Amino acid sequence: MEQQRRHYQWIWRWHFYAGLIFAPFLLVLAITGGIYLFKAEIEQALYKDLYSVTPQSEEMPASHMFSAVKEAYPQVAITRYRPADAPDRSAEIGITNSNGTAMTVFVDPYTMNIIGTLDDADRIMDKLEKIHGELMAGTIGDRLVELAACWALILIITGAYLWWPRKREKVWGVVLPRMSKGSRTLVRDLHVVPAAWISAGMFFLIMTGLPWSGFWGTQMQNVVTNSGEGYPPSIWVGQAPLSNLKTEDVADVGWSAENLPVPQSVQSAYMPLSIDDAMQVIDERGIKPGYDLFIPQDKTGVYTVSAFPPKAQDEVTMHIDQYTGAALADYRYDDYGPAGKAIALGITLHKGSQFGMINKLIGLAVCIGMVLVIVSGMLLWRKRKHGAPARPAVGVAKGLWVLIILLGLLFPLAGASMLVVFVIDLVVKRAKGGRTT
Amino acid sequence: MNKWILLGSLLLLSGCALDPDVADEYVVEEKLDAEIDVKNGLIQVTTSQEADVSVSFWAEGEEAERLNLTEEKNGVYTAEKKLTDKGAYFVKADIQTDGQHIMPTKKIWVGVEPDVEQDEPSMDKKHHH
Repeated sequence: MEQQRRHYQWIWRWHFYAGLIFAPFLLVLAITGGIYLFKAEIEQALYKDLYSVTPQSEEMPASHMFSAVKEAYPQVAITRYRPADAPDRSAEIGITNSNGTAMTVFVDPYTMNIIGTLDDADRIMDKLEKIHGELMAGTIGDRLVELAACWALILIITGAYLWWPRKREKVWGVVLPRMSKGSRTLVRDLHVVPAAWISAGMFFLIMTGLPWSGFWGTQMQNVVTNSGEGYPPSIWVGQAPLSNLKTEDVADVGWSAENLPVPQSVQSAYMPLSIDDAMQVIDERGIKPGYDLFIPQDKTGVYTVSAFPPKAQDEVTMHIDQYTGAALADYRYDDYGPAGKAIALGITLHKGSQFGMINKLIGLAVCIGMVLVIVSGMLLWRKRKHGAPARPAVGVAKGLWVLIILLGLLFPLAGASMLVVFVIDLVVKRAKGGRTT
Repeated sequence: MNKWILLGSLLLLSGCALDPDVADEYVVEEKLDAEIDVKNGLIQVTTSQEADVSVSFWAEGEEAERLNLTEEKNGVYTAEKKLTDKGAYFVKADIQTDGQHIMPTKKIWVGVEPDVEQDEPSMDKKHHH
């Protein structure tokens, strides 16, 4: 019994501090994530005017649309083409101007009229994604989000331990909140009970979100891709293949003079595949619109087809040699290894697109639950009478150490931060010990 | 205990670089390539393996014509073509196997300065659908 009390104190202390430190981050993740679930619906409303066109009988080939864009913006490079994926939807052509600003031009595929242009940096949902993924603070932000996600796992595990009913057949305060036992009990129950309800969902969102993270995610993807069980290379980690550059740019041709009335220079060079031929190759491979086609920007670049539609099963990543049109790699969901398939499904479930609206609503419920749990957790801290919990006088049991070390090994970033906490804790203990003796 | 955690973390982080040949672990596309040679009044297309081959030819801005091919030896196709006028011409080989469809195109300049621009792919007037 004494052993159990000791455990409880230690775990509660960890839960308290971790919660206090990471609450703001997790709040940001829950709110931005909850909105981002509805990206498709929000963008459909925001960009309705840019998206919609009047269907007509014949769509123009991509090369004509490229020419129209080139005419309107002579100085830009065309980087991306997204064919219309519905009869009443515009086509998108991505351009980059001379000072590096990326923009999207919306073109009517029937009339080749330019409907409008959008600065990619102004896309609200992209900004939201940046906050969700890296707090708009680049690599540091990415690591902070990852750290918060790892510590959220620790919060769930420690929280589950604290929640675990110690008396049998207890319902109130465990799966249902007690309404009539005073405000402190109510706030406590409004923290504990919803947390218990959504803990599985939170755990799932964290585990499916971590593959995105820059540190743990990249390492994990490398390991899994190397094993042959993950995503094929170039989808998440690894480079795309290169176009096979043949000979020099322009070669003199040994053309005997007798064919020509007067001796003249004859030279030849391979030409890049036209966009229409690239589209033919894509079409012949059975890829339906709803993809982005990235245009090669240098001599060894490739045409890359990239489709990440709502359902993971429809994903395509294909690289085409820009000189011959040969498919250098063509990866579909079925070509992913088992781990790759699991991560891909996890991602579409995380984004709420895999099963449509019901998927989004479940995600939203978990996000709202998280906000409630975080807010009630903060209230619990404000309502405390005795400040922060004291360091228990006795040590931690061996079993707990094993769990902590395992978590630290599995998530090195969290492990490193635990190490820091551990050292600070020791230093504080020494300093206090020094004062009393 | 600290050392142990540190060592474990380092172990876990090392050896996590991506294997450069990792693509071989996954589905690999059939390799198909071709060379187009223009010399001495001949246009020669050499494919890296057995395939259906057709070759079209056109002067810049004109209609394309399909050339008659003779297969001398495996994978080498030849057509006769005499060029008598100054100008730019295109040769496009259309090569198909079960797994690949490639369309390499060569531009030929006779007595004029080559004008190669990376971001302006060849435009075949005939093949627009």
